[in-house]
Amino acid sequence: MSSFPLAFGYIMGAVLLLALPRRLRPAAFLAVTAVSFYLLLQLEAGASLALGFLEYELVLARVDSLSLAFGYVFVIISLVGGVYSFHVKDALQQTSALLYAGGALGVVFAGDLFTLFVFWEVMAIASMCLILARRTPDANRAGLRYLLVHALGGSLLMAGILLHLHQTGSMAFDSFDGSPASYLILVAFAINAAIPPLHAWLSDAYPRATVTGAVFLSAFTTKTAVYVLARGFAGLDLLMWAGAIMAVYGVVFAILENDIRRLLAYHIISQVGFMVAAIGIGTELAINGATAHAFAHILYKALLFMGAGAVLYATGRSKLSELGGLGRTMPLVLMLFMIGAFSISGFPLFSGFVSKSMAVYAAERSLMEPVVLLLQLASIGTFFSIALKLPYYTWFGPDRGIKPSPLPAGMYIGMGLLAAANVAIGVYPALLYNVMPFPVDYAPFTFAKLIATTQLLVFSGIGFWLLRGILGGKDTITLDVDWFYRRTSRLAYTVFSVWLSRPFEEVDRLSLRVARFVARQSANPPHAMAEAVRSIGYFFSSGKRPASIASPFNPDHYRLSLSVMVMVMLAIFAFFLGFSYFN
Amino acid sequence: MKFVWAALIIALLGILVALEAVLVGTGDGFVWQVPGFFALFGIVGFLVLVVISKGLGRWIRRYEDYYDRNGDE
Repeated sequence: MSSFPLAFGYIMGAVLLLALPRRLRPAAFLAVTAVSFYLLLQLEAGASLALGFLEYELVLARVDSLSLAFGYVFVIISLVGGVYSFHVKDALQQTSALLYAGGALGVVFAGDLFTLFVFWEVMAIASMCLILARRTPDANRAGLRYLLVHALGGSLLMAGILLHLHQTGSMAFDSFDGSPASYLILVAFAINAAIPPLHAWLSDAYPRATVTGAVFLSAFTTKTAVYVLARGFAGLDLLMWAGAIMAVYGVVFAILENDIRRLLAYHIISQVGFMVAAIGIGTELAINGATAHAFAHILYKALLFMGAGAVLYATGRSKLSELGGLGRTMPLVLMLFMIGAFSISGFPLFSGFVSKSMAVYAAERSLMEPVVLLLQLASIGTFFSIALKLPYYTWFGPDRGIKPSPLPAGMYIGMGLLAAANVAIGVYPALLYNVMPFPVDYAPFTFAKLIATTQLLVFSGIGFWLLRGILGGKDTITLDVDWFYRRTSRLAYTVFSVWLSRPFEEVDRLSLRVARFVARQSANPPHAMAEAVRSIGYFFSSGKRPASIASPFNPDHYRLSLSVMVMVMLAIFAFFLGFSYFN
Repeated sequence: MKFVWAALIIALLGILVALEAVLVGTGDGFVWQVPGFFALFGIVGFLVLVVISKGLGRWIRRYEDYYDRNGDE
């Protein structure tokens, strides 16, 4: 079985999981991912599995070096995520995590747009469940907003696919030309890649997910988007600039953050910026850089979310302004977190260095100096926020006497596995470079790169030390683009519901008044006429209004003659009706 | 004490720049070929980021119950 669609393994596993007793579910989760890992190793580049559907050909598995690179890291992270969440006994979380991973693998191995769309939607629903599984009113609302944004993205994707099919007659998922259809698809991809201003769903929803759910969330949605962008839109200049800007954008917002998981969420946006910028450059080196960075990013960002999740699990707190002094009580978590922090900051001998420097070097080689400087600027902010500020105010800083509860062993093992993977890739980059889509001709450990990185990190670190007094977390929140659909929801209700229905209500009321008036007057038409004449006379006579006199018209007096008239008119009408019918 | 720290930082900068100048050399490329560019960029870039985000913060920072009080749903 060299072209088995891994997604089906995960989806079947998710269904099976529901039928198992509670105690067996964590083990079954690991079994599903382990078997998938074995199946993945059996996949051969070049294999594909196609089947006919109506008049189209659906390619359920297209195995090539690009899809394999993402496939490896997705299966690895679902396996390690299973270890980390071994203590979880919640069927909703376990099932949706498996479905989510299955959806991501389905997208990565999809060879046609229809298959891609189906798994895209599976991912959206399953990931929303990981947010709802927190079971707080706040998480419920965030999950609903998350779903609405992704439903919009899904509809745009469907519209784009149908238009594309109409224009080209092909469902194959390859590089897109610049047709209008491809721009619809690009916007849908950009929503999932969290390119500003389409990014707010990420920083809104991820910090509200469950402890283990956030680990899976940090891995799949944005990285499948990176994959589809690399497949469909490599070399698009727009993406290069969007990526460079979003790298800085995420960092700037992260500096203002107080919630540690929201801070990490903004750094997902920033790191995906590096990948999107590399995709926009589009050379072989750049695509390798984007893929390598996505690979390494999943490993260290999941580790960071695990560390932050461990703090939340043990203390129930996730705000910098409420944390502090955990260094004595949770030293092991600090150590593992710091390995992730050094990786994301691009310290030499950690995974981020060998992947990020490749993406930046690709921009340098393509003579895109402003992009290089923006990405380096983002690197400074990353180092400062994650490797200095977050640990400083969580594990050091003022001791708030927090008594953390003990962590399950699985959490430590999961974090340990990822820490080992990050160091292994950092020390021996060939591990990573061997699974890249193109042959890698790049040496990360040159003296020039090492010394430049050292200068950058040391001197931004000095900057932090000088300003550390004013950089602590404050118990505030930061508004972002989600303001437009959160704060304005009441305004939107007023405009679209209240204002829009007001004309109809007015017309309604007016017509009722007219009807009531007509009804009253036709009850006694001669009286109405007399009243009308009387009021006209009053209008012109400027004298005082005549006292209200009893009506001289007795309706009963006229009733007979009126009914005769009505009878005659009805008879005429009936005659014409009959006449026209029989004629 | 502050003076010692300042001296240490300047010494570190000197060592890193000298190492770069000797071992990497000044190429004919972009501005980052100047020895010590990234040290300067590191500290200036850091300050720029802090200034931007603090300035932005004045405008978009709110109390934590902002959305609860102002109609989330």
